[in-house]
Amino acid sequence: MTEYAHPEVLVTTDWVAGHLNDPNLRLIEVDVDTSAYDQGHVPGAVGWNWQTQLQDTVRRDLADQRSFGQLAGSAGLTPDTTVILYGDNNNWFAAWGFWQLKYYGHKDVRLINGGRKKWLEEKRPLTKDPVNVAPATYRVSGLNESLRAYKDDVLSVVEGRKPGQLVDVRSVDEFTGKIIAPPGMNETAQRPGHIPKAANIPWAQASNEDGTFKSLEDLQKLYQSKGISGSEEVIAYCRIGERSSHTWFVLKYLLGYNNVRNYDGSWTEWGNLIGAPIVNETRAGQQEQAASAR
Amino acid sequence: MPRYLSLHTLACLTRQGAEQLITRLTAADRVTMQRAQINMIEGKMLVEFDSPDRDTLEKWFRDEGFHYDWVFRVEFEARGGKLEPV
Repeated sequence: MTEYAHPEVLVTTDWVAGHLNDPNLRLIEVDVDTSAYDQGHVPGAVGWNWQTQLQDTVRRDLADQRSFGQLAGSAGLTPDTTVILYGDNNNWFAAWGFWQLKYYGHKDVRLINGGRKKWLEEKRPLTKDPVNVAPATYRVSGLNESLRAYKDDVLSVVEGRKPGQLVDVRSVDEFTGKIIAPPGMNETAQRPGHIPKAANIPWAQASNEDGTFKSLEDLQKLYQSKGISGSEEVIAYCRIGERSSHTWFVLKYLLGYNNVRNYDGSWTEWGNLIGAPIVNETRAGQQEQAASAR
Repeated sequence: MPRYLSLHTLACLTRQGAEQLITRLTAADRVTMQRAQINMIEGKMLVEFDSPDRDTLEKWFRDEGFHYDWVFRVEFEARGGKLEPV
């Protein structure tokens, strides 16, 4: 089996089990909250709460450099620490953590293939013991904006002012405009549909049933069959940016595409923008049906 | 009471979100949730309900904002190789 473009960023549960006590290595469980972490985590892992610690809690944005530096320092990180990320929820938020650490310039970040789910399925040890962390001073040296897309970057691609491709990693029903959010959920956008020119490649198509990533060959077939070859910049988006972080990781590190950005504003931003172009196939289909019935 | 199965697309529902959803489904008054089964990678949830009729179930879905892929009334089921009416 051919190796991924950057095999060094993906570690197996087996590798982690054999390196739990390595010096200069820090395991971090990243999830939407720390409820799973509190019930039991990989020994030695620190828990990060995506909602309250990786985000700015006042305005919609990532945690700023100072706050992120404090968080990293409190986890004992220095710029030379090898950070191993994993999490519940399909490793979505761990992938977000990977993206965010790279955005803030951290050198050595890796993801556990299969995440928390695989660790549990293999009945590997968990602990509720708190971790002894020697706090460190962590200064974010700069922001790697080449990894992050904003709404104007997306609009430039849509309007043809800049070359690029868009990948919508949501489910087909979200992409076509049939649904906007999870069932029963109010946190949503004003309008359903997708960004014009986006290819719909749901994030889960890159995963095996056990949560590990598919082989390089399967990933190449998946994305190239939809025209996403990496010859142009690719921008991935979803609803709030966590599923697209997973795809961002796949495109950039497993397939080795040079220019891949995560549009963390995603549909909750785009679907609320005044005047943003939207394709709603469900609405278009309904209008066609109504017209033929007349 | 008639039994129904419904399939729902989860979008980016997290496990925590699924737990809250199950609490809401369990608290339903007009319909009774018997069982829910979820696959987070497939992004789908299958729910088994008892409901007086399909209209009641579909109205409850609409009132609660629970979109669904389909609703299916269970007529027969087989356990241990014998097909029996529900």
